[in-house]
Amino acid sequence: MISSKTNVDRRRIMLLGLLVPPTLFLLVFFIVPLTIMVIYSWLEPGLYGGVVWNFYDLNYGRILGWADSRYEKFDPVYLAIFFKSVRLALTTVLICLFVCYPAAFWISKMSDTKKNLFLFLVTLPFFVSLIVRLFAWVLILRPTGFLNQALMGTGLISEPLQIIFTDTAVIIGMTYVFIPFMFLPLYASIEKLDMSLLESSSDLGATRLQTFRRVILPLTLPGIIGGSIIVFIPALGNFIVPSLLGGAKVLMIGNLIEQQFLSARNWPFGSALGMIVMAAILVLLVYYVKMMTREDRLARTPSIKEVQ
Amino acid sequence: MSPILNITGATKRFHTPDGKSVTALDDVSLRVEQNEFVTLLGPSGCGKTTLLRAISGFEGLESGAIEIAGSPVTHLPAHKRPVNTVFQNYALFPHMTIAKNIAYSLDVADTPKKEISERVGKMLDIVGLAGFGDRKINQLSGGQRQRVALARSLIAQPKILLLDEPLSALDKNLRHKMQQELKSLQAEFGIAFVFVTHDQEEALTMSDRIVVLSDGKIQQHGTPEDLYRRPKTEFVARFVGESNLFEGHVVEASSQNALVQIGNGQKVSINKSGLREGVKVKLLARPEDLSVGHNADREGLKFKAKIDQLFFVGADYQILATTHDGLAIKATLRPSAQSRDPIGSPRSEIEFFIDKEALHVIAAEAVHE
Repeated sequence: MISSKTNVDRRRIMLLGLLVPPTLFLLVFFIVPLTIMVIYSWLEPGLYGGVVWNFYDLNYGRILGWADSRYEKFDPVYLAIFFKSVRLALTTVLICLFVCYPAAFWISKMSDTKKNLFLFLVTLPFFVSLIVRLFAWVLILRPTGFLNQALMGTGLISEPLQIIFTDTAVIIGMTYVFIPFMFLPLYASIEKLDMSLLESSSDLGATRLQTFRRVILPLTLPGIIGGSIIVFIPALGNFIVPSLLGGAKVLMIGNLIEQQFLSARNWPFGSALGMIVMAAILVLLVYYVKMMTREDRLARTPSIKEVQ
Repeated sequence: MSPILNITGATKRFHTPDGKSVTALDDVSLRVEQNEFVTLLGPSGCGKTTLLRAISGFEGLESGAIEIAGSPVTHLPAHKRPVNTVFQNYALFPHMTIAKNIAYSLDVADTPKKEISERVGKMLDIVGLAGFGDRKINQLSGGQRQRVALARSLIAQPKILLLDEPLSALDKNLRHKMQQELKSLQAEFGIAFVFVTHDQEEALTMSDRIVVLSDGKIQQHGTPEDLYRRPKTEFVARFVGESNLFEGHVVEASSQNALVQIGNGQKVSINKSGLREGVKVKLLARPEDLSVGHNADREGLKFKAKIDQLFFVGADYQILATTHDGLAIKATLRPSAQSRDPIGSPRSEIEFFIDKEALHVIAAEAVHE
């Protein structure tokens, strides 16, 4: 008894030793900053930066519809920027999806060596700094850049297209950056897809389209949703791509937040904007988790005995 | 009546990555009658699954033609052929309930909802899964999945049901039960079943007719009795059932009989025509054709042997023995009802007798009858 008790004690100590460092880390670098953000978002901005310790709901008011009537009228510009960001992020998600879905199918059917090569190629961009890769896109997209040169060389257009510093450039850039994030979860669910199900569907009289709609799509849905969320979240808050490829003309919510913190020195307002983005994403995640646990519960219901 | 399935000269080659080609089907012709239970039997890689997939439309043929119920389907895609397949791993849709799985072929054909639910209900009754319609596939046991797969294929009212080793994943008892169920389902639906298996026992049990395939060629087809009693080649003799094969040659041939001398010098007269003198042959005796002791009244082969191993398997004893001239012998002996004494013991001497009527001649070169 004694030895087993000390054994349990020792295991408890070991568990504690393993759990404490990550807990501390999360506390210091995640919970504390987040708490600061939450608190700041309800405080009054100081005149020259910093905060005044008064409860102040007008940070949210400025965004959502009630402004400080002493200084300004309500301007839906922040909501407009938020929805524009949502639109750009969704477009990015959709394009990533349409590019990655067939590619993942194609790669999943390759031989093992080829598969590994292509999977390596998909992750290859991570080896080069994001900033460098985005500057490469500036070189490609600018009026005298590679793309315009090529198009004019073939005679398709007579004067350069204005692509850089537009929404299109931002979408191109974000699609490029986030494709691996979409590809990997999609690939994981498509790889698992049992090809004999497709034969069985066609055997039972389904056309290719019916097979896709009734078998392939529902079975790869977890990958589609997972990939979409993983792309949507960082795309919505992204500020590097719009600042490099969108210039001053395309402002996304991420840029706005960055400006509030770094240029305007209005931390409370920046925090409030951040909270809005986070709330939107949390709603999405809760929905996703709910859906996944429902699937899980169905899968785990105990099996029935063999009918005699 | 015209056959429900008529395959003529089906040929298919696969190309391996290193540039070689493997012949999976070599000029295979096969007719299956309405209401027939035909088994394609062979070792793995013999082409039986390729043949099945050619019928279902998942493999194209290089040459040859397939007709189902009198109309050519050789170039018809799988989803337009009036056949359905029960796959080896069942290939049930994991995201659908049992009822949805069974209804699949009706759903994709836009059958009215009312008719679907009636037919699915009836089908669930037939396969003994009434009340299980709302369960998901992963809640089912192997045998139940098997039944769902059968129901899903049969509800589409195929002209032929194709079964690709559907019982191989089940344990032995369940397999026997499913064999009986398959037979009764076939009788109930009155359609042709084409069944693929590598298990000769299963083939013998279930089939009206067995087609033995090897290296993409049909070795022999016939009733289970035909294949067991009268195999045409050594391959069939060895593959279907246990066998004792004695090498020998014809020393004397008349119009009715042939005198065959086997390796150890014994001669036996066999009732078989069409053999030429000097032809090399093999004599087949099934283990249960062997008896102990010598019967002076009957003509046959006699072997003195030493028992190597002896297994008691309930009704019978299975004996592995070596004759004094070095031939390996397999015998299945049933003790008489009067004396239930053990037949022998390992390392003891035994004398086997094989009646000449039980011997079947297989010509080393193909016999043309």
